[in-house]
Amino acid sequence: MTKCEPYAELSKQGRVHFVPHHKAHAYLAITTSPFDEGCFLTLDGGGDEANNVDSTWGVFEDRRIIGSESSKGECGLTLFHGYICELAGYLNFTDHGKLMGLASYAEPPAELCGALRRFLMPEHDGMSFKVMARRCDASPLCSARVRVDAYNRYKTINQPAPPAELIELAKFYPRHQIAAAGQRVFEDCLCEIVSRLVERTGKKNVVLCGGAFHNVSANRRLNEMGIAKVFVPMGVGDEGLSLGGVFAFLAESRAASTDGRQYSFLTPFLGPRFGNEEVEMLLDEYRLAHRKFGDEGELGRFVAEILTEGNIVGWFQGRAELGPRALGARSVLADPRDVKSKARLNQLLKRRDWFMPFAPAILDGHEADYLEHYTHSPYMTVAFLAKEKAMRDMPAGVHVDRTCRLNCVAQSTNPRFYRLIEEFRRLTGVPGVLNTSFNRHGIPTIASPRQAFEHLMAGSIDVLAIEDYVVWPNQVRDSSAKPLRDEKLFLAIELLKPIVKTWIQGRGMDQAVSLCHRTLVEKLDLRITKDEFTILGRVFQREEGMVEEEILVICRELLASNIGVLDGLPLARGLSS
Amino acid sequence: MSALAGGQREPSVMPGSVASIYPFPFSVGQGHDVNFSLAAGSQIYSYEEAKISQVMHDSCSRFPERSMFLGFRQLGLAPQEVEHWVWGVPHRVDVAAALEFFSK
Repeated sequence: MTKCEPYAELSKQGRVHFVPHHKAHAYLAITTSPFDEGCFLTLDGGGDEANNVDSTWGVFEDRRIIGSESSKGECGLTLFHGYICELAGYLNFTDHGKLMGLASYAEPPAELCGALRRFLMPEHDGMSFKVMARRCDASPLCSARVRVDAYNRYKTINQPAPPAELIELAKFYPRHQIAAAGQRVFEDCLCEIVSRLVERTGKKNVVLCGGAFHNVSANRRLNEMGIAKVFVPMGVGDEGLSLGGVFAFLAESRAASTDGRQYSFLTPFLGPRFGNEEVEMLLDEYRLAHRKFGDEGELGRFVAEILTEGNIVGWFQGRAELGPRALGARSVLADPRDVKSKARLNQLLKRRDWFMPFAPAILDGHEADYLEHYTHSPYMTVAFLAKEKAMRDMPAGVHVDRTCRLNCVAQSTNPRFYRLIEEFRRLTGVPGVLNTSFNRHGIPTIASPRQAFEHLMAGSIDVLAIEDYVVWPNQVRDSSAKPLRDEKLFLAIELLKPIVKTWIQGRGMDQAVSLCHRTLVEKLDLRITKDEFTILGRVFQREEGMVEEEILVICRELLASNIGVLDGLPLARGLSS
Repeated sequence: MSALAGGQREPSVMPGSVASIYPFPFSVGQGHDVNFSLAAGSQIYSYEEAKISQVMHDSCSRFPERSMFLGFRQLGLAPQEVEHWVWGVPHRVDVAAALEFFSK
């Protein structure tokens, strides 16, 4: 037998199988959904090189696909969202979540929405859209962005400018308005596609999969349309494709009599588990202060107490979650009652963009007390409108547009996390904690105990609760070293950006000022001439070679020391003071 | 499932077990985020290599070796015991690399 023969032998025996990209997406959603029959839609940035398709749709019965169509290419709705990311100063493929988070801060300008929509051409009887704008240049290599310890290919290679027509359209708008308009158009198109799918198939159960459905705000719109029951699985992006491949194979090879429902609402805790032995080795190696808890209730009580004292806790327990959402196995937790928890996590610990929201993890059975239109959503894949009680009890877990992407915690799937939240409820009356992924900005969620220890020592968390242990860093950090900044400051800078940019570029100043917040311009005593820029009584000459960022840094510092001037200004939706 | 210690016993195939890697690791072309899944009996394992390597959108790593072996450890299975292998559809295949994988 030569070395080649095992592979040939496996193929002959029917033991090697290939599943196309979008079929794997579809089967992940179908198999883990609560539905035996219905319709499916997959949508992403263009599949892969072998399955160059950006969308598929069709019908399933008995949890098997019985008919499907597809849209070839990579010029669809997801690319459109990527272009909007780039217009707002972010990256296609990697920053779609940032765009969604920022979009909540503005009402989308109607004229910008209308103009953007004209770049989308319906295809396949309205089941997909094609972007009618192409980039004019190739992607340059940006070696300055190479980070050995946080490498991201999209930051290094794939960063061409968006199409010139779109840049021209958006040039006078602040980026939260660009984000809001792009997100609105994306959601509108998605709602049209799903409406047509339901109409064409007559099916009232819809399962959705593919990277486009990481967009929890769009999923909320689809859920609230009310024309069908909607399900979005865990691992909705490419991270779920190997599991989708398994399910595609099992579905298409199983006998008709086999129970296809066994994976409905499958637990997301499918990753590796590490035990106390690994933790003990690290405790010995790092020599950190720690305490062992022999009882789950005692651990939960202790962690709940330190959360109420304002600590940020790294929570590392049991098998890891599949997908990018933290569901209570590799999570960072905080007190949801304190609005400062969000600013502290974003600005000091996770070092994310100031506007990124955090979600609460709530005990199963309490969701309806806090959310409108709630439907069972165990994977954090859908946002819901928050009720007054949520704004009151968990203000740090509600986004500026009053939405909330919660993680519903069931005792059966995550008993230790459930116990912790129950103890928190006993202490505070609030049945939820603030829950975010255990990682730093730009780095994937951690997997191993060593990575958790490194985060503790790097200052990303205050305390680490890992298996039966609670661990503290050796040195208490000085949290006053870098002050927390108010969201109003960041928003004011966003509004000033297009003015400064226009001034530097020497074009269309009147239009830029008119699109900025008029009251803000007046309050800041902002005056722009050909050669001078005046703000809060300080005059800046326009010097040769001066760049936009230098002016914005000056504005940021001036406003930071005069933050009171922004009081009372309705700078963003839902943020009036 | 067979014992693995010491390699004293030849592992036998576990009926119904399925392992899956996305994308096909021997495909010639752009890299994708790689992940591995394993199903055996009522147990399922599925994980992303990026969480272990801590490299996001890594176009250089093509084989989810660490998530794969953590999966085999988690489910108490050996690669030789897998009955079915499921792959993402390859674009152009590095045949020599693929054959070497299956020969071990």
